Amino acid sequence: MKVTRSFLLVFSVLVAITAQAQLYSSALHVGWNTLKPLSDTDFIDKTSSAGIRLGFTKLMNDKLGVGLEGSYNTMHEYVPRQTYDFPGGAITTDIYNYHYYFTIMANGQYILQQGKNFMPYVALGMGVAFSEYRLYYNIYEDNDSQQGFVVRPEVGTLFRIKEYSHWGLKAAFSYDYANTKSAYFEIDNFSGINLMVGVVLFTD
Amino acid sequence: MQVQRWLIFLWMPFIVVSCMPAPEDVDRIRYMLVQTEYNEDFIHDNENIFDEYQSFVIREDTMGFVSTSSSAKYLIEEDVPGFVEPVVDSIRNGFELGYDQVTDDDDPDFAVNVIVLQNFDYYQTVNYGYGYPGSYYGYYGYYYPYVSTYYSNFVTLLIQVVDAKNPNGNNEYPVIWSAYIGDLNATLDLPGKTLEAVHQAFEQSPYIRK
Repeated sequence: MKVTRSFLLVFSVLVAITAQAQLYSSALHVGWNTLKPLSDTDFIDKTSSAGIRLGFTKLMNDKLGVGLEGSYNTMHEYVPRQTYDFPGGAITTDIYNYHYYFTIMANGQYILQQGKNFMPYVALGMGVAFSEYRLYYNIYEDNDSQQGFVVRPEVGTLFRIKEYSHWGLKAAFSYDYANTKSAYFEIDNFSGINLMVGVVLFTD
Repeated sequence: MQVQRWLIFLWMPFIVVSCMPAPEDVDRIRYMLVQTEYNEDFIHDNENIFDEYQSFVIREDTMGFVSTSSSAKYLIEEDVPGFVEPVVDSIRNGFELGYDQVTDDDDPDFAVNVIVLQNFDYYQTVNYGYGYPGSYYGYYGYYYPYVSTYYSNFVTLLIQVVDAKNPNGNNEYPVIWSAYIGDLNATLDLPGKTLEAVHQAFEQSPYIRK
């Protein structure tokens, strides 16, 4: 949670120093995504930085924007060798738990302030999530794929590298909730928090 | 120029596709998988047939061999040097901790089958039951082992305990216990990791004790 607090602090400072607005009409972003699972942490607890997000936003006016975004993360955890008892037997192995997590969603954004450089916003995305849960043990594999609805509230900021520049940076903090539960692995719906940093291409 | 800038992002899907990592093979085969199953008709809260056993028989220096790519029915030490004899010895030693090894002529209580399965598709269809018509040595009679697993196309060591006292009306002998150990083909230390796995098979089957 230290990451969360740090990000919110930085975000607050950025909002505070925002100056005069500089509009853009659309923006394409690509970013590195770090995802911390909050659900079923006995399956995977480890924060994953193996993620990427790609999205497009079209401003409807100087405050509201709509967009599309796709994201992908791989989360994994190593479970050391141990014995699992089951009715009529037992199995001993070490296991690599993997969760391949894709989302495609539409979102709406509200620009809090169009600053000279910083443009903080809040957003809400909704769409489809694809979860592939996979267990690797020795050379064997077991997997279950699920898809479901996902919702992602988000706060973030855009940053123009310099005035009138087409290039900028983006940082965002968001929460994912996806109903991609796996009955096969007894894994509940997925939830997690994202921290994304990336680059943005603006069109004015 | 604007189009060119946007084209920069077209490489992103390729990154996404290439970002489906999996554990390294060398890490995955650090340990062999050991799965054991027992016949719940003979081992349950009120009964453990292993408590009644006194003696067993095992074919020494030989493993059964079931393969879709070979007509061989047995493996001997010369076929896989450093593997067959140590592994069979280890299995025999495991049972000798609680039971007496005897010969076929001594009317053993159970037989121990040791079989290597190579590229052999076999699937769970029924629970263990009576599986070996006429002989408790599965591979002697050209009968494929009556196994229970979802593995396929791998090389697996199968150890089976077949009861020699309770054939059914069709002269079939029940499989009491099975251990699946794999994968034999992927490991970097076939004898060492197999022996480690055999030890684990007994370790996780405490009912095989008198």
